[in-house]
Amino acid sequence: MGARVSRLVDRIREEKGPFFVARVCLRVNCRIDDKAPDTPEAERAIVDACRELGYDLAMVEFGASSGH
Amino acid sequence: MSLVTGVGVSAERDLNAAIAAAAAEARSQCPDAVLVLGFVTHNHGAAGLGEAAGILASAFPGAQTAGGQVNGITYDHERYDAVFANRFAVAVVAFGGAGVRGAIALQASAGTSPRSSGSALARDAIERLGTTPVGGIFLGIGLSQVPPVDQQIVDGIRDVAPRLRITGSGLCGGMQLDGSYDPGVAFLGREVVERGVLLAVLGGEVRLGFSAANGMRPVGPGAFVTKVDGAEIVELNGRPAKDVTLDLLAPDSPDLRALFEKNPQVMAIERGITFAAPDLEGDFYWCHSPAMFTPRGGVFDAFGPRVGMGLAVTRIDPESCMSAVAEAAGMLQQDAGTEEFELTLAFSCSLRGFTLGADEDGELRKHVKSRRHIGIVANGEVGCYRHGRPMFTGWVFALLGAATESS
Repeated sequence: MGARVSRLVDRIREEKGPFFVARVCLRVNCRIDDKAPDTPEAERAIVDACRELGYDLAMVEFGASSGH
Repeated sequence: MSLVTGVGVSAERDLNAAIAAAAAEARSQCPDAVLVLGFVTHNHGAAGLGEAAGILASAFPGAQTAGGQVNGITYDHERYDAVFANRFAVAVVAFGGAGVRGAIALQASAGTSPRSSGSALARDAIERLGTTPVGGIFLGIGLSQVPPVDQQIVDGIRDVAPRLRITGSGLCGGMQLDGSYDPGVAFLGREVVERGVLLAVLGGEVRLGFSAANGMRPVGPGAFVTKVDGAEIVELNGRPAKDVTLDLLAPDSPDLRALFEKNPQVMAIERGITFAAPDLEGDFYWCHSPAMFTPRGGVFDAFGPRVGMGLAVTRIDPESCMSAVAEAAGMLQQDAGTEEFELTLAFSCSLRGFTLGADEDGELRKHVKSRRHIGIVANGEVGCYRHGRPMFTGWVFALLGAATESS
């Protein structure tokens, strides 16, 4: 289970609600459930999907800390 | 004036504190309540509901108390929407007054034997009421069970009480990653039941009206249902239903079509487009939204597809969605035979929140004179269109109005 992806999805759910998470899930081609592995690709896909939906998560969640 | 109501809403994050505050406010307005409903947004979680139910029961020792988890609450120009904004709230609605009677019944196994459970629910509630009910509020399973059973539960209620009109919603415990709903938890008194269903009935010196509208507008050619298997539309116009659905609802681009193919429910909400069957009487379309595609190329439809049914392609946008509030308000006044209400209670599909944002509650006040108004963000609604019988449907704004004067 990927802690980073899981935390990221929890953060989105907390701020935007579960329907927004469903919209993100629809737009990524990787798992984002609680068994999703932590990979840079998964994190990038989630951040990109959020941005496409008008929610700029990258600066908030990652900034300089993750290198994304 | 015979009917007295009380409404309390609290957005405190602590569930016990929230339900205590909401109950205290409702009790201050309606100290001699006979029937009290509590609504808790599902993000509060189910674990604390037993204790919260106990707090509500203690606050109203002379009343029957019940309630459960919901998608959200609208009150006083605020939308506490757990689905679209993760907002927390608790609402308590109390009914009382001289000559007003109320009773509530709960069934625990409605998901497995819906029609007989509906009948048992009605028998129990009416027996407790001790008189002919004037109307009621139903809190069911909604879209949290696939295929849904709320229409069968309503049919079971109708078997016992053919003239009883009700409105309500499915309870809801949350939303999965794919946009599907988790089952909600119900409570009656201090008893807590997952997937429990409730029927609250009012009788005696009370006059109720019912209405429903959704704002769907036809926009182009649709399709006829030519093959059905239970809740699955297998074919439309003699072709695989999935192909026809994608052709009609996502014709604009391959990208859009690909998103619809993955999850038609989420995309139908995003794009404000769906299938619906026209009502024979008027400008109303019964929702037949494609919830998911089946492996064999069918479409799952939660709202009772039938062979021969003509499905229109309809759109719902902020303007039409909001106009539904005015339509429902006009219908309610006609149905109740009054323009003055002590309480209006709306069950508004959670999907409408995506289209409307937070404005629905305020809009109703422009069209109905009501001393108190509260809205529940719903998960599959039961509504009555133009004096008709209650039907399980979706995407609607369903209203119950309790008149200021009973006669």
